Amino acid sequence: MEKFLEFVAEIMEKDKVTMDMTYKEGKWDSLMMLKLVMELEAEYGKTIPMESLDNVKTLEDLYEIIK
Amino acid sequence: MAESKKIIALLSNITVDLIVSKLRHKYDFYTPEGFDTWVQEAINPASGLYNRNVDAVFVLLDGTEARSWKSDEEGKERITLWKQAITALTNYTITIPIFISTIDIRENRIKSPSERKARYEMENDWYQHIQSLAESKSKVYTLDLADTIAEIGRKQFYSNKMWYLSSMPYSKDGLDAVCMELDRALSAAFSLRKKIIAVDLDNTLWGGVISEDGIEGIEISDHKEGQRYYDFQRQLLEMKNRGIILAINSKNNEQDADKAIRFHPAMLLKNDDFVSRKINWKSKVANLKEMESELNLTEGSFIFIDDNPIERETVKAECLEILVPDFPADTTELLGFAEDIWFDYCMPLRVLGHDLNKTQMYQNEAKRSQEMSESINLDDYIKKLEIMVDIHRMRPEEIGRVTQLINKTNQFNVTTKRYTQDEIEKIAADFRNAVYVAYSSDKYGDSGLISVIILKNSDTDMKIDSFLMSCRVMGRKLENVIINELASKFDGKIIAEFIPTAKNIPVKDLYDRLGFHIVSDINGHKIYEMDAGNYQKQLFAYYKEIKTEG
Repeated sequence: MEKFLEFVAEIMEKDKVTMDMTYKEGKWDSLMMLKLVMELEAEYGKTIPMESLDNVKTLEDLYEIIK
Repeated sequence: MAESKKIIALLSNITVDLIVSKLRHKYDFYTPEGFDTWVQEAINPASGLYNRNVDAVFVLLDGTEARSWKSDEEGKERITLWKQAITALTNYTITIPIFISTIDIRENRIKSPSERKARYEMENDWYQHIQSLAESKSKVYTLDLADTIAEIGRKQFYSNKMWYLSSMPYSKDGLDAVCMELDRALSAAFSLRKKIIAVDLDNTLWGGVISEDGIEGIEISDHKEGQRYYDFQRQLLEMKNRGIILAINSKNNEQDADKAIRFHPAMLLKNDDFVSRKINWKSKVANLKEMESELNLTEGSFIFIDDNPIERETVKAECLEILVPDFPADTTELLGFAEDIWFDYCMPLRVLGHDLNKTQMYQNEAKRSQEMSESINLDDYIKKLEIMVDIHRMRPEEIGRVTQLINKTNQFNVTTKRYTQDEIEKIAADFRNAVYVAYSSDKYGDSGLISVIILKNSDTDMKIDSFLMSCRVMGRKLENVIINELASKFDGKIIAEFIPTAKNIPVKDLYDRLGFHIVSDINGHKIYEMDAGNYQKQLFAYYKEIKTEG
């Protein structure tokens, strides 16, 4: 889980991110969401179904899909 | 570097936000408003593109978008429209580099191969068009995106998900590759290129150690395992054929190494391919320094390749500007290693005919240096070289080389004014001005066009706007010969100027040496004059021939 947070922080160019960080707080825009999907899929070798993206509200939601 | 970021206009028929986001640390981007508006942007002279000071234009096209589901004819019409737009772009934008991508059309694979004819025709039609633009316009370059995609493979390059989510069809690998190609092209346009590769021998140009394994024992062949070294040598040879010069820097017994180079049947690189061969027991740093002075090259023009990490670290520590890439731990990667070096640090935007003879030129320079050290004084040395000079007004076919010299000469360059090809054309077209060029050759070879002098006349005097010379021919009093010829053509006052830079120290006293009088000196920015009316033409008897025209 820590690896996940580190990885996301790097993509988001932030010092630290937390699991409960929401879409709104993290100031992700759709571009950042795309980046996260692209990078996480490549890093974890899994697919993030498009359908599941609607339900992603926090980083934890993303983690649940990819872990 | 405090230099401001270059502004790149990125025109595309896909969403480029992720590309911009990836490269924004290095470049600023201008992208037109709206999706797929590049055609309008290109054909409208009042569009944002033409009203901004951009440093380069990139046209990155997804070929699949040209394809039509309805009919092949519709697809072909779209390519025709693209061709018109790109022609307009290259007509409106002539002073900055334009990079245009080739296209890859992803065919609907439900179609049988025999139904895919239109796709190849469209790809080829576009390729032929942009290639002919690149051949006829000096600032237009093609970027072979289709080749990059073939190299990676479509499955890995594209991502349907990214396309549906964002109208950007590349996967992470595809995006990385596109960004790398963009960056490589822009680096070739805007950053200094390396000129020389100095290589080690044992376990670098061949496998094994020549002094222990002997000529039969070292590993290099044109097939199977030994082919990795053969292929590496082939890559170096390809670079040499495109203007990079090669040198050897090896701790070895010279006779052993020489034998291997001469007689090993699979050695592709021969002694003649190297401008300098330092095969001795001195430190590699000392050898590199010697090469710098013998070949008159700066440290920053060197790449040093060695399998030994200790040697690499020493060179890195002592020669900060020499590029020392990590040698691949797995030597089957040597081929790609060489390719990366070429694309990242060496590839020029265009290979000019002149560049191809570089090895010969630098070899001649080394012979001259040797003769210099044997000679008694400079005049004797010059006489021995049997130098011939030809000075004349610039001819149209010479403008490419003139532009190149004006923009890359740093050391012997009194004002370091950079001009585009267009600007030079304009200067030369004004009857008050004159652009002169000088050629030099000697008994060792032809140095080609080595100097440019731009003169701007007013009613009463003549100003030397630019005076520059290739560093290969410095130290032969050619500057005296050139000024001598020009001064004797003119009656009034000659005004000359020296603008100091970090690199043009060799010519800071040039005009003092040439007999000009200093008029002012403000922080090293000096103005000189000379009364050409009273100028006594000198003979320069130690030159074999001096020809002046125009």
